[in-house]
Amino acid sequence: MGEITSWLPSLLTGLGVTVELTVLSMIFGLVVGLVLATIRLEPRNKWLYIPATIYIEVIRGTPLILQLFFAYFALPAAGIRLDPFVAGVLALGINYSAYLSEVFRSSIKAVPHGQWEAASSLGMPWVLVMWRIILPQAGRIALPATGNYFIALFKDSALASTISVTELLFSGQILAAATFNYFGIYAVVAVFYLVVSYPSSLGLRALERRLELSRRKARPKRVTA
Amino acid sequence: MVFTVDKATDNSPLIQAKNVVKSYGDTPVLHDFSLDVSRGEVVVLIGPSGSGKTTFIRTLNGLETIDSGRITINGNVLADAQPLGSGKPHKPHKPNHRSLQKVRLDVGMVFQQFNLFPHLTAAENVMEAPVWVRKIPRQDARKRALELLDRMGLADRADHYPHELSGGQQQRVAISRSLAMDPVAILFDEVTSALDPELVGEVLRAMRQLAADGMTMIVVTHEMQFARQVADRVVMMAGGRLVEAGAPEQIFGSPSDPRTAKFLQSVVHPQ
Ligand SMILES: Nc1ncnc2c1ncn2[C@@H]1O[C@H](COP(=O)(O)OP(=O)(O)O)[C@@H](O)[C@H]1O
Ligand SMILES: [Mg+2]
Repeated sequence: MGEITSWLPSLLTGLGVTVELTVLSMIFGLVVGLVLATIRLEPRNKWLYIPATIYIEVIRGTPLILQLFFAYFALPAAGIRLDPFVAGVLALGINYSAYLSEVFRSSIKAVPHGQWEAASSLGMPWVLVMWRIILPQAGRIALPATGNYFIALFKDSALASTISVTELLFSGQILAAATFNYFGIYAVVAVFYLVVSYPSSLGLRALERRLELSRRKARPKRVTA
Repeated sequence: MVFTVDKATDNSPLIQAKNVVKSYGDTPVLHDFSLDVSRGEVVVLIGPSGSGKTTFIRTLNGLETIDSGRITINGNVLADAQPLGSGKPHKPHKPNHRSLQKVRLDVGMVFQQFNLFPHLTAAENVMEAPVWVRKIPRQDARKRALELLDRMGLADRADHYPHELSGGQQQRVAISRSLAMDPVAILFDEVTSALDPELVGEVLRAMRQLAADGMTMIVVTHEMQFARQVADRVVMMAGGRLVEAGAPEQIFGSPSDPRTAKFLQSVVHPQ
């Protein structure tokens, strides 16, 4: 037991790095994914559509671990030397942006066309229609898949150990190499992953239920006019 | 009155569509279709399914582009395209951004499927464009929204979401939403067709009220009773052309074209 306690500080630090890595990569993936999805709504705009499509296909057609190696080991040859953590965020973010963009694109397309027509016939310009009318609805449609990707990203972030980011798995490896207690350490590492991912998926399901429109009830009337 | 009719004194038609031609691919949908609508006039468009009624009124707020012809609304040119072979290279006319925006602020539209924003309450649906497009302070916009909803008999439904409302209520919210932008005219495309029969009356009543208040309206409908009582002019369309137009008594009493007579027969005595 005392042994486990001695592992905790470095494993907890590692878990912190894993969470940071996940959250930053996810933000990157969400923003870039949304931009890509918007670009790919309009195939007639070739100058943006074609590069965006190539980006998505290249990223989805190659292994994530290769993308990590590229960001950390290959880019220095091009004069770009990144800190392991930054390279990790970049590679994971780019990878997830490609997948998330497809989720967003299909969710945006799933919003009935009549919503575009009603909003634009009220004089709302494109950006406003997108931001106020389409995205709030597409967001609800995209939420389950996006949430699953978020949890998958949390686990995939362990791949960053291969480029020496001292996240949770790599912290475990360092301890294991020093103590040879592989079973004990990796079991604790597994518990750490589970302690975050399982409640996250429960929370996500609760959020989905809350946002489900058909369950939403009328708010109590406000007195002010 | 919950809206003000702009009493501009010039006598030019508020809505002017001249020689409008439109095809979907190789299928012609509007052939040289012309229609003028004056301020305060209620025009009812009738005609068999597929005759181009929907397509026509959608061209009036830029939801559809036209191949040739000219559309002017409240002095703004929405579309002005040369016909084929007129010397200029032929290109489907795309209205420029600013005139499109202006026209859409002027012309409201109410749809068969309501198209309310499902993530917003009734009042928020009505406030949305005034707040974000006209930049009206939220409180003022809400006050106005509540007035409009009250006027439509929906005072107690203001904070309900669309899925909590009946079809007839949703459609009345949609009418309020359109009125909130103070349009000079409103287009109605079969707005009662998706409703259960017992809910049709409440929507027609609301439209009747609007007409009485002087709103300029173009109404596509199969409700002949409504057309007879409310229309200033009834326009019969078939195959993308204007068959005949006239006062309701004339169109319903003594149609001059056999297609009109046949169509009216089919509506009154559906098989
Ligand atoms: N988006 C579209 N693409 C191709 N054809 C269409 C489209 N919309 C309408 N049409 C065709 O145009 C014709 C007129 O349709 P519409 O304006 O909807 O008539 P109405 O409203 O009088 O029933 C019909 O033949 C219809 O099939
Ligand atoms: Mg129609």
